[in-house]
Amino acid sequence: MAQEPRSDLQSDDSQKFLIFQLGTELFATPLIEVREVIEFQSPKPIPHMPPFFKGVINIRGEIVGVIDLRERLGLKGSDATRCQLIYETDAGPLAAIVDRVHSVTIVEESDVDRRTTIATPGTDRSYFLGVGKIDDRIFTLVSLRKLMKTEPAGPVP
Amino acid sequence: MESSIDAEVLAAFFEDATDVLEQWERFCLAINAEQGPIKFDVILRCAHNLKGSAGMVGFMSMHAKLHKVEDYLVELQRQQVTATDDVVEALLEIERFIRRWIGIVKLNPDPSIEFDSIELEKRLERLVNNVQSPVSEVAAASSKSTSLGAAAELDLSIVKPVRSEVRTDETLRVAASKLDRLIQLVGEISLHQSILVRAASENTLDSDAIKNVIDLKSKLTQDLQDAALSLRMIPVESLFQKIERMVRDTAKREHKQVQVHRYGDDVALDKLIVEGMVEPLIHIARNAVDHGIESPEDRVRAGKPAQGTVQLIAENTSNGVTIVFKDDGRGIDPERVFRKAVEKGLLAANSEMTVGAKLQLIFLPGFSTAEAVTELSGRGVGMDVVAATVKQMAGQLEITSEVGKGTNIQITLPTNLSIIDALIVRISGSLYAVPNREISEVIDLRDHRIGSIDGNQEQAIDLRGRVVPVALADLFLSQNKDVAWAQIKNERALEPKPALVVLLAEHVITLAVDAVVGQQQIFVRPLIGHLTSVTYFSGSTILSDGEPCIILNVSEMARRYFTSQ
Repeated sequence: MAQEPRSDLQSDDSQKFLIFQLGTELFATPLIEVREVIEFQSPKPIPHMPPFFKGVINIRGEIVGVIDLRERLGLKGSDATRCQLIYETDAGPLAAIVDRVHSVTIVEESDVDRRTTIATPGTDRSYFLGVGKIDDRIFTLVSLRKLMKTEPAGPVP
Repeated sequence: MESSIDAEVLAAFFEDATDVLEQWERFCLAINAEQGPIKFDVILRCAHNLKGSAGMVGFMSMHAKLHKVEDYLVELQRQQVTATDDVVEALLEIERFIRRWIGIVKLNPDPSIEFDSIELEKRLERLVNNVQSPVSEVAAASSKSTSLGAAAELDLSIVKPVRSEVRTDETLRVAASKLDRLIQLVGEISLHQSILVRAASENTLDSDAIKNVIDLKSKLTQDLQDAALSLRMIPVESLFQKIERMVRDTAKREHKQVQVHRYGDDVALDKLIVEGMVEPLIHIARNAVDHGIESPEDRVRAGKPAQGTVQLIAENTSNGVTIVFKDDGRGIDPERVFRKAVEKGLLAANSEMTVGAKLQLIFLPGFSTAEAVTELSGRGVGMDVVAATVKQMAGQLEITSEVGKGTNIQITLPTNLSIIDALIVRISGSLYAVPNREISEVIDLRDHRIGSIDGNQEQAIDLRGRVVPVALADLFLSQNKDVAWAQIKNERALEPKPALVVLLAEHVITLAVDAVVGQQQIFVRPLIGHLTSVTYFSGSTILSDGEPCIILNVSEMARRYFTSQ
């Protein structure tokens, strides 16, 4: 789990990404990080959690934490039809709520700008992988796993 | 000879070796002089098998030594020796040597290692040539050789790597009959499943016949759950055997006479718990023999039999399994324990405590030190570690002692770590599970007069003559983390509600909840990521309706309540 996952089927220069929508923006995450995509399942709220942590759901007998990715990244949007991306972290499985899953696309490395110029000093932005482009639309590359690691620690009562 | 050994072959060898050592030990502990000439078959086979596997793996030196051991055993068998103390000791000594060799190759699996067995051979030589050697001579001989102490030390150092190995790659030996049972149950359940599927396709689900099938299926599922859990359960026999061995070895080293009585070898516990109890019990056993049991002379002077008695008892009880370690030694003086705890600054000299509570102080972290060894006959050395381990296993520990009569240490453990009985309660609209073992009773607050304590605003009830504070569980779980603790205590709007009575050492608290929904067995799962930061949560589970649910740590709530005062 430690090193950056990379599909064996892909050459070093291209990688499969899952493109999804948060509000009006497009985002992409390495497909290999995503275990499955499910329809929105209403989470059971848990006290003492950060605001973006919406609770837990039961996926075939496994307890999965739910985070609202839009809220986590500080974006705005409506609560229309949404779905959840299930992915593994070192601390257990998580479901990220996104607004819509767009497509699975192979992105050429040449179409990705990995210069992370938007990094703000003092904040950990290692989950931010770069900016890419498909069909003239710009999308932001994020690593869901790393997003979890750079989590602001939950409040301890 | 290749210098590196195939890992799988090596693993198989160690498994064999563990088996052999266990069988050997069991054999030695079971034989006694009254049985006539020893039937060496079992350990001859052990030695022979191990010799074979050692040769196969390439440990030629071990192979050669075991060959010699075999020769001595054959000779002893020919002489028709009986299981006198020194014969049994010598046989155990062989086991000790083999264990040490295995420990060495476990740390460094190098086929070229040469093993030293001069001490062992001398001893066996003496045994073969002069079977009737007086006990004292043998004892003197063995105390001269340092091998005993060294072996004992090494034993401990071996215990650790084995345990960590278990964690990373745990393997279980399971009786084939248990697996057969599991397979049979799965077969039956799938049969019922297909009946249901057919009924669904034929639209005949709503019939009495199908209702019967569903009833039967839920019973089968329960059986399947039990069968699956039983795979992890092992009897405490192996644990007790190790402890008996420890007692014998320590007694021998200390020149004390101790007999060990074991009861309930077949009581079963989760494998992890059995393994986890090895070190605490070794601690307890060593303390008991080192410091509890007196020397034979002292015992006779005190009017006791020269030989001390240690009892190891395992019992199934309503809360799980109770393991009792009992000795008839000199006991522990609670007043001295109390004075020591005060000296250590663990509590104030004017603290009011019952005699029983004073004794429990030896489990406090920081109580035991080298100084305490001499002062208190060493009881309490590492007892905090024992207490911590038992707590980790969700167990409880209690000590009782009578000066001059002996000490009794009782450990109550859950039979398995993964399934527990829990109460399902509703707190501010959400369901939570509370392990039954954490609550002593459930009361209806309407049945009790609620008042304030000493004119304070704190709420309390009169519970059978005892003033017990009342706290609202939902305030511990409030999303608003700015809720001041004062507010909990000032909470006036205590509606009539059910409440859980939680015991925390001396303290009692009642936690009011919205409703008690029911009781069920829950499968304890670990907390995922974010949830681990909340100390009031101890785990998670999925309820029978499929809803995920948090398992509350109400003891922590109680602790929080009392420490925030």
